Amino acid sequence: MSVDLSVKVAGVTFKNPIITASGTFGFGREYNQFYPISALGGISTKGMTLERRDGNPVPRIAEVSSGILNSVGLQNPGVDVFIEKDLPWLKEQNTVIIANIAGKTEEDYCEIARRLSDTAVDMLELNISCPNVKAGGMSFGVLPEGVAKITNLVRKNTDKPLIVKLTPNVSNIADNARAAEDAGADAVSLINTLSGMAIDIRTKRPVLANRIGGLSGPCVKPVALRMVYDVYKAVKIPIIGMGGITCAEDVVEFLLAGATAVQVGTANFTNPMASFDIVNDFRVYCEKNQTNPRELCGGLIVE
Amino acid sequence: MKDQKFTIKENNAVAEGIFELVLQADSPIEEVHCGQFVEVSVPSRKDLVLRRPVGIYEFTDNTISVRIQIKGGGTKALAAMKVGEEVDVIYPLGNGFPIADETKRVLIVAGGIGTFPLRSILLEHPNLTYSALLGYRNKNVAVCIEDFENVCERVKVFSDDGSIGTHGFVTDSLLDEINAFKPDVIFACGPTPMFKALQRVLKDCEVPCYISLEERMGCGIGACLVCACQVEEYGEFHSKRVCADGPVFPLKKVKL
Repeated sequence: MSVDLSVKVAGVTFKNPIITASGTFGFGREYNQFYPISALGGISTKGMTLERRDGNPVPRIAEVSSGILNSVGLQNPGVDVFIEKDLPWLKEQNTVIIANIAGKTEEDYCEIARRLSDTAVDMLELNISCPNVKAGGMSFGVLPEGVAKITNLVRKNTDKPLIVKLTPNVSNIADNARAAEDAGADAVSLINTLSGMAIDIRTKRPVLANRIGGLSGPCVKPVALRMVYDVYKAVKIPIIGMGGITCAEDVVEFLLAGATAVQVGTANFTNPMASFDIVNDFRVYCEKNQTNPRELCGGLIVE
Repeated sequence: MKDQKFTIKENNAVAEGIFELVLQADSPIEEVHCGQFVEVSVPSRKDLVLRRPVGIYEFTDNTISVRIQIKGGGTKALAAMKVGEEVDVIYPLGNGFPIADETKRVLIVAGGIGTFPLRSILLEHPNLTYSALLGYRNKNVAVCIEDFENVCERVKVFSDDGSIGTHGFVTDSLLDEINAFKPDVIFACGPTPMFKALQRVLKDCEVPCYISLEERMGCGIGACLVCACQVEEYGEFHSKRVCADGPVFPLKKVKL
């Protein structure tokens, strides 16, 4: 008998716990040329803003040891274009649709949440790692008070299940997770990218045009795991864990640490079949070990 | 578009710091067009999470050949690969050079390793009439001249230091060549300063010119948006993906 890989997050059922991470998978069309994305538990869309954004100057990527730095700068067609052009297609792909949203101001976040509330997206994922123009450039998601405020505001503007995506570039991520939970988040996802830099010694300049970028890939897995572990002890709401997952064994590590589901990002660049392969390999793991993701969640043994 | 294993059939030295890999599949490959590229994995370096994008130099029913200039750790590792070893290749990528049915006369303008993707045009369309302006830093890296001489009606070689061909740049005699050869279209590939020079020199020229761009890439298939370039469309610049909307774009529409 085939194992049941389903998991539930905030009332939404995923056929398996593997979701593709925002920014690495577009709106699904490109990777659908390699495999049916219906095989995935879900997809978190590219981060959307109210208006079209053209993103940062290039170079926007730097390869580092076991990872990458990116500074794409939230290039996206704007939420209205997504609703009109990409959502109808995505709806037909039979996978959970998580709309990742970002904003310049608090009003932006609320407006995007409002516009998506009447649509077919299954959940909203709040990207609060972008600079808040009104607060002098500091990210919304750095201080717990900031997390609470933005979560509270968005919560009032949507009934959709709300995931708050946490940045690791903070003093204590458990505090931020608690703040999100108290403010009405249905789930948290972590980690977003770590702030990092690369320098070209020939030119003596930063590799990225934006100078600083977000670090992701296998090199961040230990940090991400530790943070999932800390957050699991701090909140009751489900956790979607991500950071450097490249194989089924990595998925198991995150589930044991306390994640209910996971996201796979950078690995898709290394191997376009990565997420599809991970779903299949995870199924084999569960069958071999006679377990399932619900049982593995939080199963870390600490003596 | 697919991700497929290829075996190294040949690893040949081409010139100073430049090598060629002939990659063989064990069955017929997807349809490939001139100007498209591939994303090659670096299996001996597990710490390198990205594939290397390389232009297609040559292709047959079941092989793809790429010529690579050694730049960093990834290309260095590829250069050290042995016959019989395997690589993973995502292909075919990009839009390729557009050859209309009515195209008869093609002028090729190449700078250095820009000759590699341009050479694939001659392979796919051997019956057109060609003229080629090939520019190199010096004679040690003057690659592919024979490939062009075998097919083109006229080939003119330039070098930055005068060690081979005419001392100077491909753009020096570009307008004269256009007047003499009367091409239907111009295809160019080379370093950005060469493209900028082309935009200046061809400002008032009516012959359509297409260039193949290069940019640091992530996924290589159009999903991640790191390889952006600004291309003019309907009077304003829009962000386009070099890997999926390009790498070939009209010269006059690209913000360089």
